[in-house]
Amino acid sequence: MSMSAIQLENVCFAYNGRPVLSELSLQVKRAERLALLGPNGSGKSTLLKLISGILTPSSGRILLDGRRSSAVSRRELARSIAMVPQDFVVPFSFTVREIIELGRTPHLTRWGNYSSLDRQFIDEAVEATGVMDISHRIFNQLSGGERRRVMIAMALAQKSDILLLDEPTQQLDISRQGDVLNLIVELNITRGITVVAAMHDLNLAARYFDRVVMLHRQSIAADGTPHTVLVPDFLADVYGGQLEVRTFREGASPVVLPIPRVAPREGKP
Amino acid sequence: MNLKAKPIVGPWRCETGAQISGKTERGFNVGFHLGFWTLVLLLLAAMVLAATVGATHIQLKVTALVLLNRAGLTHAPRTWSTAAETIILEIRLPRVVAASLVGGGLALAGALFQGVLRNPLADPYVIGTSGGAALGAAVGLLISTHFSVLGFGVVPTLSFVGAVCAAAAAYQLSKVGGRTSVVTLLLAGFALSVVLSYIMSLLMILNDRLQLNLRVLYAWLLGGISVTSWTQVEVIAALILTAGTLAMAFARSLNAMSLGDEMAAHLGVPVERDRVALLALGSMLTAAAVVGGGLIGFVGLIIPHAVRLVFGPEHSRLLPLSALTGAIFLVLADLLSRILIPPNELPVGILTALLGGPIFLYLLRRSKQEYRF
Repeated sequence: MSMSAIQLENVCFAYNGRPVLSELSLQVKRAERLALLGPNGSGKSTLLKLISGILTPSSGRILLDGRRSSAVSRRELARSIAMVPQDFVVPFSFTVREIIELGRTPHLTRWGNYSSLDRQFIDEAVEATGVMDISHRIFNQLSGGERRRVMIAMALAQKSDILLLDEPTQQLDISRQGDVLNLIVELNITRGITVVAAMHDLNLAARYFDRVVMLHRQSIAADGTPHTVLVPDFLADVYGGQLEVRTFREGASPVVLPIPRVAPREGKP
Repeated sequence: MNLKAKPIVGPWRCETGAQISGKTERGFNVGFHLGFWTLVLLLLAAMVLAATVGATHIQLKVTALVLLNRAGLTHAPRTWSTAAETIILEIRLPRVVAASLVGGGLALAGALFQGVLRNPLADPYVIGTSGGAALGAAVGLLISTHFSVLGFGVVPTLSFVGAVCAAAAAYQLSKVGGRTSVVTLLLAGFALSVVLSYIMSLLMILNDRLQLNLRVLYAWLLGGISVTSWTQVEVIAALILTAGTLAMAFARSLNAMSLGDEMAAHLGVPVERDRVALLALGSMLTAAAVVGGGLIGFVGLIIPHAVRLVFGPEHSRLLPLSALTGAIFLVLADLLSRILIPPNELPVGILTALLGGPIFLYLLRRSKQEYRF
C-alpha cells in the first residue's frame, strides 16, 4: 500500500490561545487534487501553513510521505512542498525571470550558481505557465492574472511533488480564474503533482476539483466529491443564510447560489 | 461549454509587446561580468590616481612603475627618488587602500541592511551603530589616554566597541519571543541611536568641565579616512574582507527574504537564523568602516540604490558590485578631500554627500521607469 502524500493526525492549532483547528485528521493521496473550503476564518490558510511547516501544530502530527515533517529541515521541506500564496509584496524591481529563479532557492548551495539542470527546470516552468513573453518584465508591474501565473511558475521551478495554493483565483476576473485553474488541473494530471488549494469560491472548487473538504467549527465537517459535500442543508448550516444548489445538466458540477430575499422583476425593466 | 483543460500556453502569451531580447524594462541593462570587470579596472585606476596626486608632485608613470615593481610584475630600473617611493608606498597607499575598504564596506553594509530590512531608507547606521560609535568616540576623547589597540588610538577603538554594542542592543531589544520583527528592529535601532547621540551631545555641552577636544570629535562625526599605517590597514582589511566574503553566502537568502519572511521560509530559508547572521555581518562591516573613517554618511545609502538602478536588485550581483562601486567612490572622494583646500583637509563626509547626491538624483531621473527600489 502506498503511503499518503500528506497525512494529518489529530492536529490542533491555536493562534494566541484562540483555537483555530482541533483534532483534525486528513489524508491526501499522491497526485490527488483537493480543494479546502470553508467560511472566512475557518482555518483554510492555517491548514496550508501547517502542511507546509511554516506553523507547528500544538499537538498531533503531520506526515509527508510517511515522514514526520517536524523532523525534516526547512530546506528539505521546501524541496517537497511549494506554496503559492495569495500574493506577495516585492519591494525590489525583480524581473519575472528573476522571481521564477527564486524557486530554485532550496536546491542551491550557499556559494553555488545555477547549474544547467537548474536552468532547465526554470525554462520548463516558464514554458509550462506560458510566461515566456513577459519574462523580462518587472514583476511589480504585472496584472493580477500575470502575477498569479508567475507565482505558480516559481512554485513549479521548485520541482516539488506537492503544490499548495492559497486562494489562487482571488481578485482575478472570470476568464483569468479559468486560466489559472486550468493550468493547475493540467499540472496535476500531466505531472502527477499533488494539489491542495484553499478555495473561497464554491462553484470554481466544484468545477475544477474532484475532492472537496469543508472546514467548519475548527475541524473537517465534510469530505468527498463536490456532489456529496455541496448539499443545501449542510451549506446552510456552515455558511448560514439561504442557499440553492443546482446542477445544470447530467454529470455537470453543482452550482451554489444565494437565494435573493426579493425576487428580481421578470421581463423588461 | 467546454470544460476540457485548454493547452497550457494560454491566451496571455501575446498580452504584451515585450521583446525577448535579453532586455529588461529596468531602463538600463548592463551584464554582470562586463560591469564587474569594468569596476575592478576603474577601482585600480582610481587607486593609482589617488596615490599619485597630493602635496608632493609625483608623475603618474612613476606611481604606476613603483606599484608594478612592488607587485613583482615588472622590474623597471629606479629613476625616481627614494622619498617619492616612500611617499607612495608608506604614506599615500595605506590611506588609499583604507579608503577603498571603508567605502566598499559601507556600500556592502548598506545593501545588506536595505535587503534584510526591506527598506529603501536603511543605511549602515540604521540599527543604532552611528549613535554607539559617536558616543564611543566622545568617551574616547574624554578618557584621552594614549593607549592603542592594534595600531589604533582610543577614539577609533571605542567607536568600534560602541557600534558593535549598539547593534547588539538594538537586536536584543527588538526580540520578542525568540523572533525579531523588521519594523520593531528599525524603530529600536532608531530610538537607541537618538538616545546615544544625545548622551554624546550632553557630553559636549558639559565640555567646559570635561575639556573635550571638540574639533577632533566633530571631524570624527563628519567622517574622514584617518588610517596612516599598514598595520591599521591590515586590521580593517581582515574585518571587512572576512565579513564581506561571508555576506556573499547570504545573497540567495536576501533574494528570498525580499518576498517576505513567510515566503522565504516556504523557499527553505531559515529566516531568523539568516537574519541574525546578516545583521551581525552588516554591523561588523559598519564598525570596521567606522574605525577607518569615522561616520561617513551617504555612501552606504545611495551606492546600493545606484547599483540597483543599473544592474537590478538581484543580490548575488548587487552585493559585489555595490562593494566595488563604494570603494571607487570613496577613493575618489578621499582624494578630493585631500587636494581641494590645501594644506587643510575637507571632511570626506561633506564630499560624499555633495558628490553622491547629484549623481544619484541624475540616475534616478534617467531611469525610464518609476524607481521601485
